[in-house]
Amino acid sequence: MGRQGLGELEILVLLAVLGLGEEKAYAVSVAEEISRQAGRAVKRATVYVTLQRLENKGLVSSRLGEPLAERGGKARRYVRVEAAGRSALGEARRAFRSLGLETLAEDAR
Amino acid sequence: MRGKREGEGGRPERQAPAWVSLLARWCLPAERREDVVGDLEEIMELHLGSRGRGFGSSARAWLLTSLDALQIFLAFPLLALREALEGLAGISWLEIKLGLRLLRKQPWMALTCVAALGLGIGIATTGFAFLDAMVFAELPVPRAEAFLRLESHLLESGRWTHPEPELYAQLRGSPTYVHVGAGDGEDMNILYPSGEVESLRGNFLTPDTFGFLAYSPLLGRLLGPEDGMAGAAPVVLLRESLWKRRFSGRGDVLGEVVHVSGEARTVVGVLPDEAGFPAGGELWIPLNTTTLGGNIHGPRRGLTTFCILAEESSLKGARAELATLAATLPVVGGSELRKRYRLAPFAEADPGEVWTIGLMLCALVLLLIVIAANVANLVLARTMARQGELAVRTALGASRSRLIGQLAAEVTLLGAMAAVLGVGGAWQALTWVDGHFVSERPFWISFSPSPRAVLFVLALTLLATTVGGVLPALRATRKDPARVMAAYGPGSGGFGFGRFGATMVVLEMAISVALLSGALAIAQGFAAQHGEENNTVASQILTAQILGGKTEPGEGESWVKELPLTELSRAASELPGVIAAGLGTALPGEDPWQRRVLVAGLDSGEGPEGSVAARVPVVRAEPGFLQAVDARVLAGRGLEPGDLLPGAPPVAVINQAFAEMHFAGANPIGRRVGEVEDRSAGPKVSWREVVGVVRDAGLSAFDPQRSAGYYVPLRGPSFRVSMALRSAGPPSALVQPLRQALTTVDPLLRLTEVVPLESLRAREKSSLAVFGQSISAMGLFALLLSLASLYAMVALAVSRRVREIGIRVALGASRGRILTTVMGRVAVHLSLGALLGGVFGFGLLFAQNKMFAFRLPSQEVLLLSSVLGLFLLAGALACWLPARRALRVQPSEALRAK
Repeated sequence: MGRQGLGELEILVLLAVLGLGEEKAYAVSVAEEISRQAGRAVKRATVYVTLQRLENKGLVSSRLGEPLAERGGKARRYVRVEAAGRSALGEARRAFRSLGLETLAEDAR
Repeated sequence: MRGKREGEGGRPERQAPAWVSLLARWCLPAERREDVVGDLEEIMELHLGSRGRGFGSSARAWLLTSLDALQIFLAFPLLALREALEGLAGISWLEIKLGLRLLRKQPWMALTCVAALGLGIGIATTGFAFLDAMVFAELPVPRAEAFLRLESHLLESGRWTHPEPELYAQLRGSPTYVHVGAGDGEDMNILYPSGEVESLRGNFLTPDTFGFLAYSPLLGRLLGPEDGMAGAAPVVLLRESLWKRRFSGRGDVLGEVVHVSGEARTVVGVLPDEAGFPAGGELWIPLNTTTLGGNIHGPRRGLTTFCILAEESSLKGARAELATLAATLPVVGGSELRKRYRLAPFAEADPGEVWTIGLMLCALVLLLIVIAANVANLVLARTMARQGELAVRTALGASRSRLIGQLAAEVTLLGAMAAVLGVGGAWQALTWVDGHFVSERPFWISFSPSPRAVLFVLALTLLATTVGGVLPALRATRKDPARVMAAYGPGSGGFGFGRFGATMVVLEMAISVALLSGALAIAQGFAAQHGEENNTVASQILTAQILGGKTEPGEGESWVKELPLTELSRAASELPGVIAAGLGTALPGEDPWQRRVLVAGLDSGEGPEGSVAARVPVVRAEPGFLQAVDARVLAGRGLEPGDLLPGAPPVAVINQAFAEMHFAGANPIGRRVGEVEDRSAGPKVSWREVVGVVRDAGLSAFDPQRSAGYYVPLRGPSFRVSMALRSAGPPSALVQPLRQALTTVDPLLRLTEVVPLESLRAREKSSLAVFGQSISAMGLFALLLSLASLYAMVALAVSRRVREIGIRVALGASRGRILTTVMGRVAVHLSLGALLGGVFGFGLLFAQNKMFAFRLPSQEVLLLSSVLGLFLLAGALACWLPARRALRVQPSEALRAK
């Protein structure tokens, strides 16, 4: 990961993967999680592309699970957030905070 | 459509739409196929779960999953492309999007650039595919690299000759090779059990060669060593295409007897269409392995000897061994019969042909560079018009590399579109060539695209976009804006594109003029040919091309048997419904040999004082041939059977055009014409008496002015002739009877083609029409592009010089003066382009004249002048449209311009 910042969608996907945990996070569940928790309808194709880009940047890694009978013997590709991903999320958080995002949240309360 | 179904043990088993797995193979990287297809099955389940399980909801789920799948499958290649662009060219996604937006704003410029680059890429790709197919072609057999061809030539004359039989025997005994065999392709006449006769290409092959080809028969067996032994039963193998065409793919074809060139052979097997060794025919006939004879025949002539290297042997070692073996061979006859041997890879192309195509390819790549340079001019013109925007971006902090990146992204997009267009066009052209010239090329050569061709297209696109996009971007973003501006200011050299740009525009103008002239000449050639076809009986004529069979050793010097002319024409004439039939050396509309001919003056004898009549077509023919092609007698007499007899006085029957050209007004009967033969002892003239004048029946294919010629009696020996047969009914009805009649006379003769004259002409015309249309299209494209370049140049020059023009107007400059200022240099370059185009055009017309026997002596100048006139007119218009703006410039505008 260079000094490049994260896009909004990338933040959402990273947070969803963290929320699901590495045993449950794969493309379909990540899309569902974003839709359920953030109330954002994200195209599944977008989730695939974002996960692939994050993996290419080294922020997440993926592994093929065991073949599953309910998927006709096909395995899932599970994703986990790497240390670089966590630190990128931390940087994003710091940037938001320094821009006064939390003050905005308190005002709204 | 499939939804969820219960799997074994009641476990739900989801299934995504059937096409998903299929498409996944094309769109997804291998490591992502399993999980993505599995995910799509889950997605299908999610869609199903949200709306119950009825038929309607299943259909909806199927549709929604299909949409998801499409989006996902597209996303992966797009991501790969995006990352490749970012990685390779340093172009960001944002720049690509910006580029697309700008292209939408300038659709005509984008269209012109894409069309021009596409044309260039398409032409160069086609040329490369030809070269690739020839140079890198491989035999479709296992261990193709081990297959070698033995070439033998006479040492002194360099002529092709047979290897000595002893050498064949020695090579067969050598441990360097796992196999040594021989084979040949030949036209054969097949008499089917139904009584029908067909002429097709077949193979003679040493039968033990099949053990090294890995062919699996669809039916029956392959040929084996037992078929190559003396006294073996005559057998034949069919190819799938022939089996399906003539035997309806019947399984019981094995054991049937067909007559191949007069010999009864039993069908023992059917090979798949992929089989083609050694010459790509539809039949295989075993040779005697020892004598190389075709079962009952002795050794055949014209065979190719080939060797298959053993695993541990090398070509170098084999060549060394061959040199040793050849040195020990006894020389039969004089030193002029000494032979030179060489082993070459079986599929190796003729170096001469590779060289020619290589040169052609270089010319095509040069053409692409010229086109790309012109695109560069257009791009530069548009970029300079965007100086304001670039300046704003620079002021906002954009670096030069970022600006160049964005400009390059735009042109890369254009290049990608052009590559798709060019490759599509090239693919179409190659498919057409593949389908039309099957018999003319070796069976292992195919023009289908290869990874090398893909790499070549990529390299071409990169070259085109570099020249067309990156160079102008570098120029337009120079650090010193004053220099850029100066290029457009008064007194600047050229059009403001620099000398290189101006030269390219001039070159392109020249090429477009030359191409258009060539295309028009071809069109005119067609018109001339069409106009010439006043042969009222053409629709009744059936034609046949006849070649003598190959001789057996001891049958004379020639490899080809002499044709029994009288018997052949008698057999054809006796067919029911035939009005007239005869043999001749060239059919109407073909180009016969042109001979140097003298026409004797009124008082001259057999001397060189006859006037030279240049080269004229001379056809050797039988009387029946002239009747069949409707060459009616206008004066004197036609050819008669007595003229064919040995010792008969030499006569000639001239056509009307010849009479008018050389005997204008005078009676030609009794005058003499002589064919000149150049010999080492001096020219020899064979004089003939003109005994008659006949109607023109098409002695030249394209040029009526070349049709002035004459007919002389056809006397043996003849090895290759054409037959013309006029029937009372439709000629196609006589195809089979004619085949049968001719092959009955001589079963070994080769009938290469039996078709109605009209079909023959139509086929030739359609091939040439495609050629002519392609050149016309290219010429037109090149012309349009050069006009667009001209337009862009003048428009740019005017917009850059508004201030100067305004000041001149204020100082009282006349309209003429203003026009001269703006258009002066463009006019010079336009004229230069026209002049060069004229020179190129003449060169092309003369080359074409040589290639296609067109001759337009009086029209050449007219034709080229018309194209030049049209070009200058269009060029002037392209300049005038933007120049009008210069005339409307007001001094007040000039003040605002800065």
